[in-house]
Parts: sequence; structure tokens; C-alpha cells
Amino acid sequence: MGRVSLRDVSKSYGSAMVIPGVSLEILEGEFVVFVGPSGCGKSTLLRMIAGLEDITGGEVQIGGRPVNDVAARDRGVAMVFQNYALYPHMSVRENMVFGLQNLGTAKAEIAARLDRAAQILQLEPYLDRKPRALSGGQRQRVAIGRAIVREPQVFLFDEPLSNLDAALRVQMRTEIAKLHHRLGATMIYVTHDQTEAMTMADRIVVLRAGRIEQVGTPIELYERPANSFVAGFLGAPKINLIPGVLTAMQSRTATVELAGARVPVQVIGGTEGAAVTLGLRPDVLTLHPDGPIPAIVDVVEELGNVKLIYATLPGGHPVVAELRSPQLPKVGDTIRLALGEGQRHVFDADGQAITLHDGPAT
Amino acid sequence: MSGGGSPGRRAPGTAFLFLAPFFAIYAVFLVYPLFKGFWISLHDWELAGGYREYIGFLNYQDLWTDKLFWRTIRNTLLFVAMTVPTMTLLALMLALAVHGTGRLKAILRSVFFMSSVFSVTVVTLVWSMVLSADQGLLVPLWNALGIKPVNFLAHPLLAMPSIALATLWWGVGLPMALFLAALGQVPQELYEAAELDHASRWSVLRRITLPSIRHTLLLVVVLQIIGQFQIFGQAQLMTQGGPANRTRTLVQYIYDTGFRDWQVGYASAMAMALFLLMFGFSMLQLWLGRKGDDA
Amino acid sequence: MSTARRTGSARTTDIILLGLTVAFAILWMIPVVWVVTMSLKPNVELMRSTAGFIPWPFTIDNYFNLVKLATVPRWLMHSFIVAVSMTALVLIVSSLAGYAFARLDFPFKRTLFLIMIAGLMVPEQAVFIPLFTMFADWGMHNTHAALVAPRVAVPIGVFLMTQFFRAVPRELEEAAELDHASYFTIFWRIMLPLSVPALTTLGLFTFIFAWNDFLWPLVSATKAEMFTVTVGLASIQGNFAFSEGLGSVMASAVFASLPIVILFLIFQRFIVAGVAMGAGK
Repeated sequence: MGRVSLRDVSKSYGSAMVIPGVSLEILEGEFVVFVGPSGCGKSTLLRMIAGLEDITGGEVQIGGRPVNDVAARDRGVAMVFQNYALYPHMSVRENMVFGLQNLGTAKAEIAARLDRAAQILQLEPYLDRKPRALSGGQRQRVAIGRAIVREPQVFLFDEPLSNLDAALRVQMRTEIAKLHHRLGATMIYVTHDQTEAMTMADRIVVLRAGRIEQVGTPIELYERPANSFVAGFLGAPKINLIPGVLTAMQSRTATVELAGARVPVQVIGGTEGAAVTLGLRPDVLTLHPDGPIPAIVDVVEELGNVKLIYATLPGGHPVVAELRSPQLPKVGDTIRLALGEGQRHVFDADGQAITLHDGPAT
Repeated sequence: MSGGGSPGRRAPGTAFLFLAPFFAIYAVFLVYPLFKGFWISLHDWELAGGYREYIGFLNYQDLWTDKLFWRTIRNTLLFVAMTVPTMTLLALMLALAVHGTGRLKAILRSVFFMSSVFSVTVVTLVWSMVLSADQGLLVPLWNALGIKPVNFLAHPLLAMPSIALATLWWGVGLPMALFLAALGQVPQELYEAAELDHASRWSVLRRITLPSIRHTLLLVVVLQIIGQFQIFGQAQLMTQGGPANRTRTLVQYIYDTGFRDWQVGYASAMAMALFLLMFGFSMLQLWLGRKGDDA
Repeated sequence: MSTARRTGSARTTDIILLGLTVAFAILWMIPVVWVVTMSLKPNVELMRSTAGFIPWPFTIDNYFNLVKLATVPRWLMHSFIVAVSMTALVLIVSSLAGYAFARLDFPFKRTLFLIMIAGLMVPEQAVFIPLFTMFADWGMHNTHAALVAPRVAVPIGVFLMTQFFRAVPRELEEAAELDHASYFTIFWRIMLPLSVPALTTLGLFTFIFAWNDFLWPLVSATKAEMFTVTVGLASIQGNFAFSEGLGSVMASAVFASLPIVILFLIFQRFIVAGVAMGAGK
């Protein structure tokens, strides 16, 4: 029922190609997040699934049925918009039942579904209010409620939390995740916020310039990014991407020579003497008097449980370390960074990962 | 990220259904009559009796040599020349005076707009009375001054200005509202900046307000020209074109020719001439508007 | 203009300007007040003098006679029927077409829009003679339909509604589409309720236009019992009016204007707002 297949789907406006071709299988009941920088085509892709944008090429299937020529209203999908898109002249109740009325659903059934949705979203006290009398969070709940009552095969979310303040965003994030468990419906969620993607998704689809960079579970993408773009996009603080040269290649081991430091790594492929990028998550770096990487401290941020050290490498390249040690360097100090537990990513000149991972993905 | 791109849902069938009522009525009651009007103008066509004979462009030739026709054109242009600048200026001054917040200004706005909702018959009735030589509003004033009351509407030189005065009173509301709308869109920061720069009232008006509303100024002038060119009711009801045809306007002449003399062929030829004149003005507006945008 | 603090002399100038405006406004209203005053005076008194703004000696006989005579009330009724039906039809026709132009995509859209706008350049005087012959051929003069039908396709109305609909957030429509709404449902349940301010403005202007329409009713409604109040007033103005009694004529003018003035006072705030919407391209 709620399976969504994209077969080489493309989109162009006139001669401008926005999405050159995307293929993707989304399983029933899956929570899939499309993530990427603005302009990557993630919203366009979602709107093509919804039927709000024409599909230039390829095929979209929902529940095994090709829907390219099916109008949005007949695709059995519900969408939650970034700006809520609540009908301003209708009460919360009217907003929520509008779709069912259009379908000609029986009154009793409408009432039952409205009650259920209102209860799930704690909207009962507001049913007779107009949207303008609600707070941002409440409006977003109504928008979700409007989708829920329709009991669609597929829920589509287009950056639904980006208009909310930070605290509310965290709260709504968990609510949507809970909702997904409760309803078990297929959900496709678009965001530019990697935290939302990491916390909510069963699978993340990372998009750039209308192409899929990588698809996988949050952990897969975090631990085994296929390229430097994915590595850079997921994880906060951002991964350190430091240019270097690959040397001392053995069958599986090699050394990345940075300006003033050498870091042993494990790789598959790669050529001796090639320019590479070393990817080190900030939490991999530790302070150690004998550490191989010297750096000068620029800024120290104390976040409580962790401390962030922003420093500059001898080559002039900036680096961030996430530390848990109690003693901290001062601004201007020269420190030595060591490599602790955790993956050392290596990307070739094209940004593709040539990291060798131990064992299968977790 | 939010969509954009497509100009709208592609739904030709639905669209044509939505457009059908408008274009059906438009075709029957505007497009067709326009062509039929031209067709009639090529005939010697009597309103009653059904006499009609194709005469080609003879009506237009007659028009060329018809002294009264040129007289009405001159009268109409004179009326336009009298009303358009004064109306525009008055509307602008009133708008500047009543623009702003507060109850008093709201009441003033209503007062100056309200005379626009009266029908032409009420307006002409009111002003015919006001200007009347024996029962008029000004009669006590003349008596007090010891002057013989002036019969404005029968005076060869004062009749047209009298009609223009009534027209001003009647029509200033809409241009004033247009100016008010434009004034409301001038960014308040401009005035605040000017105030910090110690700009005088006059230089604020000249350097900030007027340039900001110049599009509206042009719009008002064009609308006024087009509107005042069509003057009919005021002249018909206040002076009946008199004295000695001095206030007979083009539309009035069309009406009289068609519905008093029943010469609709000739009247239609005049109507076509009017249409061409107005069309010219509209084109001029487009041209000026485009030029204004380039500047 | 500015709400910022001003120097004392500037404030004095403000007050003087406001005072002048108020004086001018009073001057502006004097003719109206005078006419109302006359309508409340006995005709005999008016024969003697029309001067003064206090209706004394006072009478409302002029209005009584008006109602008794039944001509003016009948004209009023015709005006109402014509104005209400014209307003309703203009709103329906304009909003339907405006929605299509604003939100649907179809072949020849630009061309059709230009053809529609071109209608603005055709003055009614250019078509009223052929219209007269058309309605004469159909034997339809002296009917309400004849007064209404040629006035229903109003380009400026379509233009206004198109402008308004274009400003409605597209997501609302998309949400409705996903809510299984047909185009007509979107139009009827979403777009129309949202466009109440625009419809009010357009309706108000149409009503005033219809009420005050002069040239076309003058040629089409030739029988006195089919006159609208505007044409009717013109007929008594020229003829028996001033002999019949000045007070009655003035009373009929006031009577005829009352509905439109009341309408204006109720809805006036939509006028400037609507003008801003129509002009702010």
C-alpha cells in the first residue's frame, strides 16, 4: 500500500535541469528523510511525489501504481507544509475535516476520525478556534492533524518544523517520531537540518544538486559516508576535512601526510602520492602531550559536558576538537592533538571515500 | 525551495469553463456591438421606420465638414482642459490634507468622497439649484452685495466653468482615494529620514512625496482624461448644451443625433471617432507608462 | 504625515492646515445640507425664499407625497433590482474568470488576458447605439435584463480579482488539492471566502455604478414606469419639477440618494483599501 518507488525521476524547468534523475525505493511504513542544502531539489522531489509538480521524466509509483498522470487529489497522500497552509477562514475542526468532506466520507466516520486525531495531537481544546488564534506549534499540530484524519498511505512533510523556535522544534520532532510509530504509515520528510534527519529517519537520503549522494540508515551514513559531502553534511560539529597526501601505501594501510603531521589510516584503493582528504570527526581528536598533530588554539567553547576547541593546523587549516578532558588549553596555546577511538575517513581527490571499514556496517 | 516555477495548474477544460461566462457576455455585449457600430456607421440608418442604405464612408465625410461636430469636439476638449488639471490638483491637495490617522481625518475623507456616490442627476440637481439666478444658494449673497444675481448656466462664458465646478465636486473622490492609496505606500522611513535632515515641508513634498507617487499621478491624469472626455450627463442636465451650443459635448451630440434625430448611422460614425480618440489616449498612456518605468 | 515629534511651529502649521481642511469640508457639504433642508420645508415657504439651512417651518409632507405618488418608490425598486442583480453577476463572472487567469494554466492565456484588458479601452458611448439596436431587435427594451446584461462583463473587475487571487498563498490551494478538493471546490470553499474584502470592494463599486448609471438606462428604459431612479429624477428635473414644488423634487433627490449613501457609510473603509489593491500593481 504505502510503498513509494521513484524510477529515474527527473525534473526540468524549460532548459534548466533541476533533478537529472533519481531512483529510490521507499518501503511501506518507512520513515525516510530527504536532506540536503537548499536548492538540492529535495522539496521539488517531494512535491513531485505529491503531484504538485509535473514529472518531466521517469516514473513515480505509489503502492505499486504509476501515478505520473494521477492528480494530486487522487494519489492518496497527505502533506504537511512548511507554512502550515491552514485555511485561515476555517476553524481547526473545519480545517481537519475538509478533505474527508470532499471525499464524501460519512458524518459519523468523520467525527470518529476527528476525535482520534484531536486526541493524539491534544487539539481538543482548540477545535473551534481559527488558525490565527493559535501559536506556531499548535498550527503545526493542526496541519499534521489534517493529514492524520485522512489516513493516507503516505505522509509527506515539507520542512514542517523550520518555522518553529528551537525548543518547540525538538518537542515536535519527538512527537512526529512517536506518531510514526503509532500510525506505522510511510512518511517522507524533507529538511535541511541534519539533526532532524539523524534523529527521526529510518533511512536518510542525502541529495545534492538533484542527485542522490547516498542512501542509508543514519548510523551508516554517519559512520560510512560515501563521500566527503555526506561526511560534511551529517554530524555536528562538522567533520574536519583536512587536505593531505597519501603515502607509505601497504596492502591495507597507508599514511596521510598533513602539513606537519602524519596520520596512519586504513584504505582500499588509492594511489601512492595522491592528494586526499582526511576526515576526522571532532570527537576523534583528543589532547595528548605526544600527539602527532600540532595546532594553535583560536577559540574555546565550553558547552558543559563537552568542550569545543577551534584551532589552526600548521598548514593554516582550521580544525575542531570535541573534548571531554577537564583541563583546557587557553587561546593562543600550542596544543598537540592525538587520534582516539573512531574512524579515520579518507576521501580521494574526487571526494569519494576510500576508507577501509572493519567488518560489516552496524 | 517552495515550488515556484509553474504558472499554475494545467487544466484547460476547467479554465475555459471558468472563463466562459465572462467571454460569452464580453463577446455579445462588447465585441460584437463594436463591430456592429462600425457597420451601422457605414449606413444611412434611421432608428425608426427601418430605413437603411449602405453609403460607405459618406457619414465620415459629412463629419469632416460638420461644424457642430468640431464645435462639440472643441467644447469637450475645453472641458477636459478645465477639469483634468484642477481635479488632479484638488485631489492631490485633499489627499495630502486628509491622509493620516485619527477620527477627524477619517471623517474628512468620508466627506470628500461622499459626493462621488451621488448619481449625476442628483449632482446636477444640486448644482443647478446652487447656481440658480432666482432661487440659488448664492442669491442672498448677491443681494447683500447689491449685485444683480448672475445666471451662471445661461452665461456664454460661465456655463462651462459651472459644469466643470459641479464635475469637480462630483468626481474628486476617486482620484483622491487613488492618491491616498499611493501615499499609504510611501515608506514611513523616508519621512523620518527627511525630518532628521531638517527638510522643510515643501521640500519633503517636492523631493519625497511627489516622486514616490508619480505613477499614481500619471494614472490619475490618464483616467481623468478618459473619464472627462465622456462627459454627457452634466451638460445634458444642467444646460442642455446651451447657451448657443457653448456647452454641447461630443457624447451629447452623439446622443442627440441618434436618439432625438434618429440618425443612428451618423451618430455611430461619431461614436467611432470617439472610440479612436479614446484609443489614442489609452495608447498614449501605455507609452507614457513605459517611458516612466524606464526613467 | 509623520507621527514623530515636531517643533512647535510645525505643529501650529499642522493645526492651521487641518483647520482649513475642516472649513473646506464644511463648504463642501453645504450644497447637500441645503438640499436636505429644502426637502424638509413646505413648498409655499420655498416659493418665498430658498435661503437658510434650518428647516423651519418644518414638514415631511414632501416625503409623504413622494411615497403616496408611488412613482419614485417604483423607480427605486427598479434601481434596486438592477443594481443588486448587476452586482451579483459581476462578482460571479469576475471571480470565476479572475481565478482562471490567476491560478490555472491553459492555451492562449496571455492572448485572452490581453483581449480582456483591451475592453478597458472601449468607452460605452462607442457601443451604446448598436446595443440599442440589438435589444430593439430582440424586443427587450424596458426590461431589467436589458439594463443589466451589457454591464456584466467588466474587464476591471476581472483584473481586480486576478490581482487578488494571485496574492493568495499557493500552498493553500495545494493543501486543498491534497484534500481531494476539485478546482470548483477550491474556488468556492477556499478562494472565494478568502477574497471577501476584494469582493466587497468590487461589489460596492459595481453597486454605485449601477445605481448611478445614466446613458444606457436613458436610452433603454423609455417608459416612465421602467425608469431607474437616476433616469427618473432626470425626467422630473427637466419637466414638471420646479413647478410641481421644489420641496418634492429635493425630497426625491434625497430619497434616491439615501440607499447609496447608507451603503457608502457602512462600507467606506473598503473603498480606499480596494483602490490600493487595484492600483498597486
